[in-house]
Amino acid sequence: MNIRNLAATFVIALFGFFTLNLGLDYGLRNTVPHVLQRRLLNRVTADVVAIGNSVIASGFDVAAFDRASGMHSINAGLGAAEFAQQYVAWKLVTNERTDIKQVVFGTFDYSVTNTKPTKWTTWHSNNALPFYADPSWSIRYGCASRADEVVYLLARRVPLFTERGGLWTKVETLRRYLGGVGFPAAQINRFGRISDSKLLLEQNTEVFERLGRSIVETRVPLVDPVADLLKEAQQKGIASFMVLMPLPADRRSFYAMPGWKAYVVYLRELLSQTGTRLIEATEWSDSREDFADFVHLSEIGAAKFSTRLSEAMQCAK
Amino acid sequence: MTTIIQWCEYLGGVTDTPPRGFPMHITWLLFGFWWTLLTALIAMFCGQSSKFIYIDF
Amino acid sequence: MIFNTFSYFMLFLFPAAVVFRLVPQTWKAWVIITSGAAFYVFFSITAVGGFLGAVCLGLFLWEAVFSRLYHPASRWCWIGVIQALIILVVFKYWNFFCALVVSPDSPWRWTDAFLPLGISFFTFEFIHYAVDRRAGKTEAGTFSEYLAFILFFPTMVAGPIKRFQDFLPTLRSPSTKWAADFERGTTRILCGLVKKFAIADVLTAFTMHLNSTDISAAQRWLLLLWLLAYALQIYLDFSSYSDIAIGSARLFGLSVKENFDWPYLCTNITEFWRHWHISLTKWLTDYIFIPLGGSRVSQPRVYANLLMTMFISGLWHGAGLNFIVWGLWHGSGLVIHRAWSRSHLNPSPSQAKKFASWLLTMTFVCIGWAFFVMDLPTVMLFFRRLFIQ
Repeated sequence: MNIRNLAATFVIALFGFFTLNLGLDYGLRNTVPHVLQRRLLNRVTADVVAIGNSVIASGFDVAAFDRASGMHSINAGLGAAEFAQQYVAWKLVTNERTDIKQVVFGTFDYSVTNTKPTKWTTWHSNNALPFYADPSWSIRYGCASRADEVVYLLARRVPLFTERGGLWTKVETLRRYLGGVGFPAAQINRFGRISDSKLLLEQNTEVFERLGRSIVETRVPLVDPVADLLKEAQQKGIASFMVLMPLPADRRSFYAMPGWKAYVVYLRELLSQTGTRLIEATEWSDSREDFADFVHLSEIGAAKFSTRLSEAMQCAK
Repeated sequence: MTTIIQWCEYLGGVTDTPPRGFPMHITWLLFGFWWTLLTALIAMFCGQSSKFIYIDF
Repeated sequence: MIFNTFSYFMLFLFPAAVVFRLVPQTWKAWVIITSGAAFYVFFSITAVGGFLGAVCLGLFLWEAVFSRLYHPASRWCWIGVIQALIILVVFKYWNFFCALVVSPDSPWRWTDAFLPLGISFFTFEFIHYAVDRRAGKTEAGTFSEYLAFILFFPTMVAGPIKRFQDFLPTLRSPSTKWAADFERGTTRILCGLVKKFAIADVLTAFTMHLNSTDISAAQRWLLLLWLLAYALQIYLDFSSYSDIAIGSARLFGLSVKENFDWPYLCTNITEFWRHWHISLTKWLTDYIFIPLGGSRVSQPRVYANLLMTMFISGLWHGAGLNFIVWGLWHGSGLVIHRAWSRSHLNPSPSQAKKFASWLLTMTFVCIGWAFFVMDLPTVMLFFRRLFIQ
């Protein structure tokens, strides 16, 4: 191997790399965030937009809400999305349109005051949404320095990076299949394994109580993307509602604790700065059939919740 | 078996001597595509990487 | 992690390899030293050990300074060996021995214990140098050459365990075949990463079940499948690591000896150990087995030496009773094979017998992996479920 041959090898590999990227860009054009992006950009007129992660994606029933409210709504919920992604979804809906009159932001437990930092290098799969939209909407949430921003702006042009989640999902499916050999099949719904949904919630009442108290005592602010979203809504004259989404009845003991109650008061106070109304729907559903797993509403539950939500929003106004 | 080992070792970068029958005149082309394939496999499988087993010892 | 991180390649390997190639010979050792020191601090802080782990870089500097006292037949060499052993024992075995000798909640326990990056490997290189200097088997090299030897980052964390007498010639006159080295080195690194990501890591889908809960619930054939998967996983995992280390060294133009040579094709356990983690086997042979008397003593003593060597090998692999049992399991295998070989001097070359030998060796090795991957109560449960109920 001489230098000329080595250079030729590099050129061929670069060509292969480029082709690979083109192939991925085309082959993975129908992943969840791509479809959501197209749906949000091509939507018909709407008055209400629902933003959030899978609790909104599964829990906000557009048809039921529209029937009950007489308005047109759109569900911009994105499963497993972080707040930066939810903010991008919000921007996709509202950036060039003026028809949105109300925004519903769905969340649960202490999520909106969870200050765990996010980093753009961890964005993939459903969280790849910012790579497809205007980078100025997301750059401040995922980048810690100017150098980080430069790398982010370059990396978002490489499909092998931005679409890696689509590949990894397929590998994960294979791993789960292999790991499940010889065991009864795990129950799944559209958000993954049902047993995994339990991991989203704090299971220890003492820790839950302590967390609530600590947030209130240290006056933890809203996470930046949510604070920005609500501020923008206020500036645009869009009425904003934050909904603490329904959770199964066996969680009631958590929401009867003083730490949680103090947290709700504190959250209401935080939201009042942007004129956002808090709708506490945590205990709205009693029936097991309202839930698809430990966190997400079933179709029946979503219809009931969305109907009641529209009434609660009218009352709140 | 010896032939398979020789091919594996050459394609794996272990040995410098190509196995008998290896098309030497287009090595640059073959390895260009070989690197692409390896890169694609790395990109596809690196999502659930775990630490090396021996690393703490 | 380390070898499967972007930082390793972009911040350390490629810049250091290119600079090493470009600078004049007198600066080459210092390129390895500075890049190795930066590597050690960076990965100590970001991966293991934290700030205190990074401070352990001082151990390398101390060793390099102290090593200047080593001369053939010098007592300083023994002091060097002892201090390397102390470092290893304190960081790696203190809590293990406390739990074993005193009690698991002994007040002597080091509660904030941490493992400095690569401790098991660099201490073995320290010991090798001290012993070989005393025996006059290697030249001293300069301060910077020795520091470069111990701080050469591709092999620092998990081997292959180098020898100074092998490293010195390659450091003094590294390969100048840029193109061949980059092509071979890159190919080897890419193949190592594919072995790790696409096969070894996928096999964790099976091997993650090697715990008491899943073992209790599984059918017998599954236990066998998981153990075979682990055998494959640990080979691919560790050999891929060696591939990346050797490929990385090749980018510098430096040659590092092979660590694996198709061990799972071997037809007896002695041959297996000559093909598995070769650099460790050679180290154990030279610095444990031979000083104990090697094979030039009476047969019972040879057997005892083999068992002792493999006992130490087991203990080195991990501070746990299961590792000791694993080492003794292999030691017993080596003893039995040695005894067998002495009474069967001309083994038949028939294909059927070769296959049977291979099968027996693989079965022996795979059973051994059970002790490597699970603690003793779990491994007992595993074998009970596999063979009895």
